[in-house]
Amino acid sequence: MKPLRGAWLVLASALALVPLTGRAATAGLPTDQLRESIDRTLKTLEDPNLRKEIAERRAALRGIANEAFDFEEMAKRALARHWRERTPAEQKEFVQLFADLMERSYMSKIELYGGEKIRYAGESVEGEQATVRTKIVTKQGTEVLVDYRMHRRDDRWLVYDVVIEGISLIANYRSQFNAVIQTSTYQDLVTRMKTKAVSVAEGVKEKGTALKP
Amino acid sequence: MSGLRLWVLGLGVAMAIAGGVSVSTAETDALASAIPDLSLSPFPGAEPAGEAIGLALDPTRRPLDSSGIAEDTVVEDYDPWEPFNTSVFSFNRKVDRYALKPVAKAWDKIVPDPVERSLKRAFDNLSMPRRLVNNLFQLKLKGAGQELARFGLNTTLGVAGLFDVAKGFGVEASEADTGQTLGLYGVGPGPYLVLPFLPPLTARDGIGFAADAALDPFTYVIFPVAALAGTAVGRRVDERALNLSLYENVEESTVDLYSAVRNGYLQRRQRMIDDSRLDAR
Repeated sequence: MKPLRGAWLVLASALALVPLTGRAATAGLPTDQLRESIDRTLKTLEDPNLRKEIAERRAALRGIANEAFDFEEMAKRALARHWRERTPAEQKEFVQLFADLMERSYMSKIELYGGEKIRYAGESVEGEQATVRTKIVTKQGTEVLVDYRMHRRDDRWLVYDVVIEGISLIANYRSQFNAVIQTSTYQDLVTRMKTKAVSVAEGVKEKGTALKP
Repeated sequence: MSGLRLWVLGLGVAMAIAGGVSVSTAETDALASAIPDLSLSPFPGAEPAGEAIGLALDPTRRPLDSSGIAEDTVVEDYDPWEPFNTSVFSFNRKVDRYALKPVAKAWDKIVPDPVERSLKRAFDNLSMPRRLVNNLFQLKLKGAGQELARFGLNTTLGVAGLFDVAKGFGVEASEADTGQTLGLYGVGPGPYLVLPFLPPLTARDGIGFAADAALDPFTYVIFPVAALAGTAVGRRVDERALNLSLYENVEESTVDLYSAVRNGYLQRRQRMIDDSRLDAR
């Protein structure tokens, strides 16, 4: 009796979802806002005037990222239960360090951009949360699935997680941060994030953008 | 001298096994093996097969937001063999740094990109049996048909798989491996496992890996060990060469590479199994 009722419930809720998802698939506010940020990013990357002005270009990209991402939420989620154990000052410092880390990992990747196409593959909204699905199509036709998890803050939808080929960035950082804190200390984590910043900056200076895309 | 030769041979054979499964579709997968999951109670998917298939009809089972299980929870990746894994992991990194990467770099200089990609396609074409058998076991009849059609088209018109003509006809690859099939049938991942010369695994995926190697024609057709090792190393080098910059970035953006790789691998495998559950209709 019970499993049968369960099955009906599933069916009923599935039917109830049909009209909702149907409408959501035609793109809504989260997709529009994400698309706007991505378009601006691509425009900046393709701008011939900025091609030589690397510092200027980075600043422009940073500006766009700061508007599109909720770094505080990301840092908080990535630190998970260790977040509450930190003082407000430490939390503030950590958000900055995390934003830097994201910027470096994203920036170096994004600067390899070579005319890939971005397709928007639908969105689902649940209250204040949304997932926008995209596909990056490379010139060779390879597809990389990238989902953006967003939430609404006031009237804007902000990204708080990026899921690349099924790998949630925040979940990944969460496990890294947890591993470092468990086997060492929070201070060590902070030190690592700071030294990483320095070594990466030096690495960029040495290598320039000589990486082959 | 002979000790060195033996070592090189051993290396080749191990890489052959690794190459046998290799990572699946194109660049994206290198990303997966490089950054690697979440949601890991040791045996999360331990439902009987019947229910696993039943799940296919219920898309609501896939959590919308796996990163936000709760903002506070840290789901620890199941890794009871961590001391062993950690040391093998650093060994593998050395192999990559001092052997695989330099060779891949040289290879990348000599061989033009389109050729690298063609070779990769030819290697992928030959792992058709692994994908076909697992599509069948996963009841993805359409996928199995696609694999057969692709093999036929690409082996003939595509000159031994060097060109993907099937894609032009709209017949896409249907990736499937034995670890994924086992997962679909309710076998949990078990402990995380790192073995020398191999990409990251779990106990379940290690078994799947061996089965996949048995399904790989390289294991039988080109039997003379040297040739076998040669081709497999070639395959590995080719993949590495295609993904030089990708790996570079991964190391830049992590604070703890071991747990990053472990988590990424586990997340991605879980996602692949969830997806095949949704596909199996």
